[in-house]
Amino acid sequence: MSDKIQEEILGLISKSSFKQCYARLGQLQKQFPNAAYFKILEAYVKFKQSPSKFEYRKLLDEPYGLKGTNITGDTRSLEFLHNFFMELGKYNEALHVYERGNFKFPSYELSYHWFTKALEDANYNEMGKASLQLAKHCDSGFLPKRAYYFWNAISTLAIMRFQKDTVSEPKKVLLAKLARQSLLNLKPFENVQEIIVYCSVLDELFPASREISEEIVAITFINFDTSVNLYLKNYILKHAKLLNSPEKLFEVCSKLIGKGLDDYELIINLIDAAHKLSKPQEELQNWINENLGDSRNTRLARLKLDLVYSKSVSESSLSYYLSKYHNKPCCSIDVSRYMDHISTDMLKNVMAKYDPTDNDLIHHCNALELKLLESNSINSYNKFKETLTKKSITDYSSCSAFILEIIKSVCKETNPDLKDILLCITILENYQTKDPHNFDTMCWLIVLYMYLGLVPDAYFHFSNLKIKNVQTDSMDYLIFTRFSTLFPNKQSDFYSKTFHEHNNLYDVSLANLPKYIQIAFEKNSYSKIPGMFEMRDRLMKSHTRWMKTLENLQFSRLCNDKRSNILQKMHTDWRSLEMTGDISFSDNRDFSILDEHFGQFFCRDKVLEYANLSKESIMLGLIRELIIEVLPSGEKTKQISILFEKLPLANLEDLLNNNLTKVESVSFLIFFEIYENNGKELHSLISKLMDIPLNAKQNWNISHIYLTKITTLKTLDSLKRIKDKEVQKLIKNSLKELRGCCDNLFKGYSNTLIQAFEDLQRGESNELLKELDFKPESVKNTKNSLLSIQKNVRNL
Amino acid sequence: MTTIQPFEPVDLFKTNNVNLDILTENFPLEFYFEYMILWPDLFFKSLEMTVDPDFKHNISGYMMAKTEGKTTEWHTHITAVTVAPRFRRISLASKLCNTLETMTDVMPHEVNFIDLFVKCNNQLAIKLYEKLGYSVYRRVVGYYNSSQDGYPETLKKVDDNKDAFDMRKAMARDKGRSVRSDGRNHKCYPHDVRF
Repeated sequence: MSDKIQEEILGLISKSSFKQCYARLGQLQKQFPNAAYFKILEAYVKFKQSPSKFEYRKLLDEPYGLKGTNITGDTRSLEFLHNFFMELGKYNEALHVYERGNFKFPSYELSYHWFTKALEDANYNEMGKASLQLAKHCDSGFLPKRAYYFWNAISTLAIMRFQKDTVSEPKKVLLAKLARQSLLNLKPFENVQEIIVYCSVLDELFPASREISEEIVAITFINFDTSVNLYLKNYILKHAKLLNSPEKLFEVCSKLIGKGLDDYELIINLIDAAHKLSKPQEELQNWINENLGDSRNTRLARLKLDLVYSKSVSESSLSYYLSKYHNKPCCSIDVSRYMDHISTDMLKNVMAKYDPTDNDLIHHCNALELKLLESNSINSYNKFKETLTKKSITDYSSCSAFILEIIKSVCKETNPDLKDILLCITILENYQTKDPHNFDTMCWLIVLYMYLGLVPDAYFHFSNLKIKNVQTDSMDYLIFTRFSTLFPNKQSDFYSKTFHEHNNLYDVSLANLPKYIQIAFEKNSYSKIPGMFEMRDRLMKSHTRWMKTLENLQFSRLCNDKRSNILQKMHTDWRSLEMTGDISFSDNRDFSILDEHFGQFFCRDKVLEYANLSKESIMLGLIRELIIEVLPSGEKTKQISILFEKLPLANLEDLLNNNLTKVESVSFLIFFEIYENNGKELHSLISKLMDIPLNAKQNWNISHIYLTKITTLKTLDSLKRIKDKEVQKLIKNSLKELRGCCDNLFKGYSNTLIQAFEDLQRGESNELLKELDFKPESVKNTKNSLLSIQKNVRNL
Repeated sequence: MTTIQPFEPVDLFKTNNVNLDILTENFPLEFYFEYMILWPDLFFKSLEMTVDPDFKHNISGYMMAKTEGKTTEWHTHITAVTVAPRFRRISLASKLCNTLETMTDVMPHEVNFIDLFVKCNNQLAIKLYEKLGYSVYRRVVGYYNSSQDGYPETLKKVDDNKDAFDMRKAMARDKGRSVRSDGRNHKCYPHDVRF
């Protein structure tokens, strides 16, 4: 019944039918005079009717707040109260109602609800308290009592790992002791998951000591008699090393290797321990071979053995490894670890022994990476390009390394020449036809099209990468960064399909995670739970997620669309961020896919500048949208103040210059000026915005600058708060001026691109394409792509 | 220089070098979580010790497996085993399979056999698994059928591109029940391989 009533009341609130709300609630209160639920609902109606006049203290804090007098054990009332407090940003109060309810009306059900809510709120402190209550009422539960002590230990581990600052030092000590003692009382442990939790408690909650290490080694060592677990492998290895006993370390490593674990970490520790025990090198080498056979690790073990026993790598050991791996892609990575102990001449000689004519592509790449050969990408490519025709279509060719070397040398430049960028695109497009599934080259192709602002072309290749699910969080930056000013096209698949589909990761999967974590608790899958907490936190704070929300808001402003739903969602997301007690963003973007030294491509006027958004940029974007939201009312909000406190505002100009483009900075200052100073300097700031040249940079900046200006002006135009006639006139005229030059702007850029294409057909660039046997790209495709952007922009 | 480590949820942010591969499936987050919850030991990765994870991808591959079935059919199933292009052709997939075998041949799993499905036309993979001791137990007709193909109506119509071989490797306790010298001649429907 209550669910239906709640639905009915919320429905009336959404229609602002407050009279009807009160009438209905009056009726219900007469019928159920003692039901707390309807009183809480009534308070909520009052809040929604007039948030600013809502008497929080009287209607909510005094009865149900931290020192409240009313206590309820009704789970629906508790849930509603929880959500009500959450909406008001009172996170402690939201869970406190459960805690108080539990003390007055203790039951398994109520404790379970408390735990679940605390888990949803990522409040590990409250989870810890609730788990101990669950242990008290376990007779009515479906799990044995011992399970809840493990829940408690996991909660304490989570506090120490992720919310350390939320508890005092004495409390930390107390919680650690409590977790350890509770688990000790449960000995013997019934399964590996329980042992992992106990080891984690000892390892993470107590200072390192011999006693702790001895206990961990003892408990895990026996376990390997009957089973093999990788978490326990890590614990035993870590603590066997800490014991500083080569005998124990040797015993541990040989036992685990003897089980068949071909693990290099075990091997190198075994070698170190054996050496300290004065075991002969040959004996050890034979033992490793007997137990693990011939593998990459065992061949590399020879290098380690040489190093430990004779301080340098011998030619025979190097030969033994290289004879099998000189033409495997892992070779340069493996050998580079020992480069300080191998003479270049010896390496050169041994490498040459296995491919004297240098006819093997991967051998050649390894020699280049190990700097045994002079690099000449073009010659190397031409030498091995025939291999591209022989490989299977789904295979990747190492020829891409030569191609990418050419590309990256151009892209390192500041303000690279348009002709050079087009040359790189031409090379990559040609290469892609021969190695169609090579994602290294495809990612660069996307970057270069984005650099030119040719989003439809970038999107074509991005779609071929078939990025989906959790991958979107680390890869979407490639095409969705600043999309509202690069390709704000509602009809295209880019936005209508991909953008929305990719948001399912946050809207559906992230929302599902608390349920999954709860199941992990119930299924005793303890070892994975801390990692699940971390995953949830990083998705909640995801840089990409927030960037997309902010871009979507800006897109809505550009289109004069209603933003209430996106804003409402943003506030809910904000609350989930705030309640973790750590307002920050998690940068999960994968730049390594482009280059290990990716930083060099990000600076101002470099190819990746379009994707260069720092955590501060996100923070500034968030402030901008929050300011715009409250500008009509003239309010100053706590939320904006909190964010301001997180930024070094003393030098606002530097902050903006370092984290936003120039046009974004001025746009930010415009809204900031209205918020802070009621727009005193608005006229001059708008003039400053208009003074930024539209076509100074012939690349993605063409549409970015134009559309940032348009969005800013359209937002200002819709603000009734701006009363100054001169400013109003300036806004209208500026908009008119911008719209008037749109076609010419894009035509001009199109002509520049055509000219650059023509230049490509001449001179050195043309020679290079010929040398590589690559055909020039059709200028028609680029023209069409730009035209589609122009048509879209013109209509905004 | 590979170490075998448990696969953690946040590793999913760092596997693009593996998962951008055209033949590697990217599952929904919930699917990965399901494996971590139900079979926490059987989802692990190979990690390259010399690669600095701040600059380069150091996960070279991973294994996702589960245990299922009853009595003599109690077994380990390999759901996904995949290796980054940079670390191919160095027997890393074999290493991952061997580690799985080491782990599930003992307590608490103690399975009778390990199985996996492979497209009948994927000769390379079939050879690799044969080298590791797997053999064809039966042919699952229409296992890779698309929704357009529909469910197979007969076992007579075979298609190497749509059918899978159910390949098995028997543990000692299986006493050879999962090995058939004429496995390729035994055919079944996809519903027969649900446990």
